[in-house]
Amino acid sequence: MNREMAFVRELAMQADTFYSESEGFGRWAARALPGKRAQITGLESIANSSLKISDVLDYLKKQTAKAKAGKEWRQQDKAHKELGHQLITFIRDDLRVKRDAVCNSVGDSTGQGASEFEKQQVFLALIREFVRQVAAQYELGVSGHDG
Amino acid sequence: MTADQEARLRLFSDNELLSEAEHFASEFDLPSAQISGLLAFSLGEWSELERFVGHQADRNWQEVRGGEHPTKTFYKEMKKKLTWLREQTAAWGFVPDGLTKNETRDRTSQVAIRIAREFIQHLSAQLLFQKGGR
Repeated sequence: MNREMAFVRELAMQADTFYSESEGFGRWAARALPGKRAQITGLESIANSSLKISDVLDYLKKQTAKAKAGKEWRQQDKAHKELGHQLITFIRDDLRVKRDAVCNSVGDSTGQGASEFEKQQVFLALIREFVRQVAAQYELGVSGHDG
Repeated sequence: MTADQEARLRLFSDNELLSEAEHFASEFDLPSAQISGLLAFSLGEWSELERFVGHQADRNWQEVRGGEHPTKTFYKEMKKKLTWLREQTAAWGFVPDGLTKNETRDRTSQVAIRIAREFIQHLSAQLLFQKGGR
């Protein structure tokens, strides 16, 4: 298997491991942002077009900062954690672990460790997949067909 | 900048500048108008940003409880950070060897403002994010 295919395969495998978390965030977003599809579209747009992880994090920080306490991106869960804050934490910490898993696995299978550039590309690909999953669940949630 | 340098700048932004900005922001609560001003000057030339930060650091801010105004402290630290950011242009090899002194200075300023812009974008997002939680 060539290197590019190895990355594609590992990315797909890792993307499956956070599907339930994505569903959870999608449901939460549907409760916090009903009728605010543009907010999710904005997140999708940034995730899909940006070449930097930090652009996605900066976007979420700014959107969370704009929200009123307890509303929209600052809606809290039972543990009093805010949606925006939790999304940032998940992307930065949890997806970083997934990125390392992808890169280590490809490194082991191809005999060549991932470069910093490859790590960044993998991280971005994971973020795009995560946001895609969240957006899909958001749609289902706001449509009223979610369980 | 070449495509390779642009790619290195993006890596630098994600791997270094983001955490530097988050750490720096954690010390301050800057008023929103100051965040907007800093962001606006970061979109211009290096010399304009440097002048703005220097001016704000030297301004006669009213003391708070007998101590230095926190906004003055912020800009004094920001001035040091700009020096650090400018030094990164050489550390990251963004300025080629073999240029004249003037060419090196101009090239350094062109790259330094790009680096500063990245830093300030992360810094402003973090400052606003912190403010929302306060």
